[in-house]
Amino acid sequence: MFRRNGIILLLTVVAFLLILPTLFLDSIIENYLEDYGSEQAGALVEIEGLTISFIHSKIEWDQLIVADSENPMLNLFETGFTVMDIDIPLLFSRKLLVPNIEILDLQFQTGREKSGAIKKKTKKKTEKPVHSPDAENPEDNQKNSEIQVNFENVNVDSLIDKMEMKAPAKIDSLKSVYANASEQWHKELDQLPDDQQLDLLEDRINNIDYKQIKSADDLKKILSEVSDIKKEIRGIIDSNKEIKDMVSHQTKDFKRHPDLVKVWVENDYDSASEHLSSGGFSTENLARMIFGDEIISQIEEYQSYLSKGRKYYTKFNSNEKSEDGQRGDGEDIYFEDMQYYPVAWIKNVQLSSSSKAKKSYIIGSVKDISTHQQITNLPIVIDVLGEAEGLGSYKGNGEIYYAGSDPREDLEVSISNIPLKGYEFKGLPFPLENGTGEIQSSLHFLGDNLLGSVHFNANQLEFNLDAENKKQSSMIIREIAQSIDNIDMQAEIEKSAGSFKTHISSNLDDIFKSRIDDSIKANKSGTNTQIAKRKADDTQKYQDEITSEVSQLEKQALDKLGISEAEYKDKLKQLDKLKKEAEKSITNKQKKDLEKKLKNIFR
Amino acid sequence: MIWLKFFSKLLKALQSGNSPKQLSAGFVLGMFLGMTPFLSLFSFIIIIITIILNVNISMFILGSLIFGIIGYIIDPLFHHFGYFLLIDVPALESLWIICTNTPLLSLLRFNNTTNLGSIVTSFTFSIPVYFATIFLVKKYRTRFGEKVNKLKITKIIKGSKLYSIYQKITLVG
Repeated sequence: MFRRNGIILLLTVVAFLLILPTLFLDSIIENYLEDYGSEQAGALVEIEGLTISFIHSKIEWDQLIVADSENPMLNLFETGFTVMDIDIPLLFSRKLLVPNIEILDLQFQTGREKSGAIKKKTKKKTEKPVHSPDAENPEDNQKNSEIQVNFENVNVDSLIDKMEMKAPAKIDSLKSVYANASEQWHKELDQLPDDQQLDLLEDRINNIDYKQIKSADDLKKILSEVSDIKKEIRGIIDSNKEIKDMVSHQTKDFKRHPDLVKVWVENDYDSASEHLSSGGFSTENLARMIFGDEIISQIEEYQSYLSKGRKYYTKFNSNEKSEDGQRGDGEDIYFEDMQYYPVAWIKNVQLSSSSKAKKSYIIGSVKDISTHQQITNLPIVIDVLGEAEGLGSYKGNGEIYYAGSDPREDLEVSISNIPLKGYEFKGLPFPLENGTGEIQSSLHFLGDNLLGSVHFNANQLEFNLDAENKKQSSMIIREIAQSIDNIDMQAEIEKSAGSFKTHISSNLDDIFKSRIDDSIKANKSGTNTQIAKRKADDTQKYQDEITSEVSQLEKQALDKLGISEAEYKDKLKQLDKLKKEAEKSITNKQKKDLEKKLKNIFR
Repeated sequence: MIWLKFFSKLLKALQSGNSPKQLSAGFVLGMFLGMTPFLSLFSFIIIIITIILNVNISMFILGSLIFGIIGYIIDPLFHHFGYFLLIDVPALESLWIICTNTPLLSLLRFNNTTNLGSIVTSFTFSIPVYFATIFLVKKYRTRFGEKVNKLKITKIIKGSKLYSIYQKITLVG
């Protein structure tokens, strides 16, 4: 029944398979893990000195280096000597149980001599990050700039620029009234005799020669001519008088307008002063503007890490068929049973590291990382503390539990002694020269919802007021930055239905409000003086403008009246004299005849 | 050359080399190998059994070739059948829990739909195929053996230079 040669062949193969791994298994697995790890991490993964001991149920390595895919000249992390206990019998059940991993010299963001980049086989991600307030939300940028705009309003020039001046429009309407009046005057003036007509009148007067009177008829003619000319002259005088009366009556009204202009301009400036007194800008919840985006962006960064955890957990627990199923791929169905183990379960990860050169360390543990928490019924428990260069000392603990109806992550993180030198708060264009900060945050994610709080406290703050590199800010911001030596911010965050609700309060609100109020008070007299000067200047300017305009129109009208009334009266006198001379030049008899005729003329 | 050897061995086996049971067992084991995903522990076990047991290797290869093609075509059916067994038959759930959690047994990946579907199908058809093959071998030997030897193609293969060289090498070896 059995094949002798076959048994020999099989034994040979088995012996070969047992000897070969003993010689090369470590390096085979090391290479496999490096390739697999690099593919998963998207950057070079290097393992040094991997040894597997089935007798002692241990895997050890001297060094594990994982490059940062975002910055290949840095390592995401590197470990020193690491020992991992493995439950070997469970491997035959296709289960990985790691009772304990001890990681020594865990370090983050260490430098590399050679780039850790690899050629990515995967498609480039086109998905946008969940939220990037700086780049994507113009509303947020607007919020930041609002701080600047509001502060700038304190400047008198800017305030007046933004002020709605009503006087100029009213003055323009006055000018149009003047133009209409002037037009009317000139129409009337055009009715008066022109120079040519006046010359003719003059000629008619000069042509009257009483010496040529020979008879009563001659006299009658001359007197009749004198009477006609006098009538015309009196008509001209009356018209002149009417126009003059009209011009002087209207200009009398117009000359009262500068007083009106003064009231209008003053009203405008008074309202500007009132605007300044009320602040002219909003100081409400400045902390929200300054810290809001930063907090939300930090929380979303945490969320993106946590979502990776959820994704991998779901991957292990979902029974979804792979889209590109090839032959034999099928679908793995996992059966939960409390008496068995999950597919993978790392019971305890002990972290410890210290770098004297960098003055950083990390110690702590991560417990119960498993693929099926519904089997272990244990959450992942994180408890770490340490210190990192550029971050200060930190402490973090949390629980992650995915087996409930909704995935839950509870995280408490506190970081102290954060060096703030060089940090720049949004809305304040000065980097910090000095200062340390502390953050205490508590975040509770449940499904897609979040409830959390962040407390930030910064002390010994000194802003570098000379390093302003953005647009020129107002003195008030400079003064505020100069006066701040402490920031205490408390944020309550809630996220539900995909939207964040934040309530952020800080001493900055009060500091800013108080400083702006003080600044306004301090500057108020100066500002008012400036406004008063501008008011006086503008009033005088507009009054002069109106006065000049009215005077000019009046002068133009009167000039056009031409010969003055006195001159016309002289002509009338001249005519009367001519009349008398004519009357003297005739005899008594002729007088009697003439009187009769004159009576007929002047009847 | 390999094909000539294989064909010749197959003809020899069918005619007198092995018993019908050996031939049939080889064919059924070939069916198991052909139907189930190749890179699995189950396939490895089938190969070991074939090497150890005195079954006909040529029939094993023939069976794996024929059922390999069939298996490739009806692979989606294996998936659906496996899925049905794993998910839609609650009575079997405890069995699958044992299968997926028992050391070594879990390495057979009975929790994989395609794997389970193909293995169960292979087992289901193994007995009918076994007896059917015995029946067919007997029929061949009594009725078709002589006729096949007289076929032109058989003579060509047996009379070819390559075949003679192969025979000599085999004898020397």
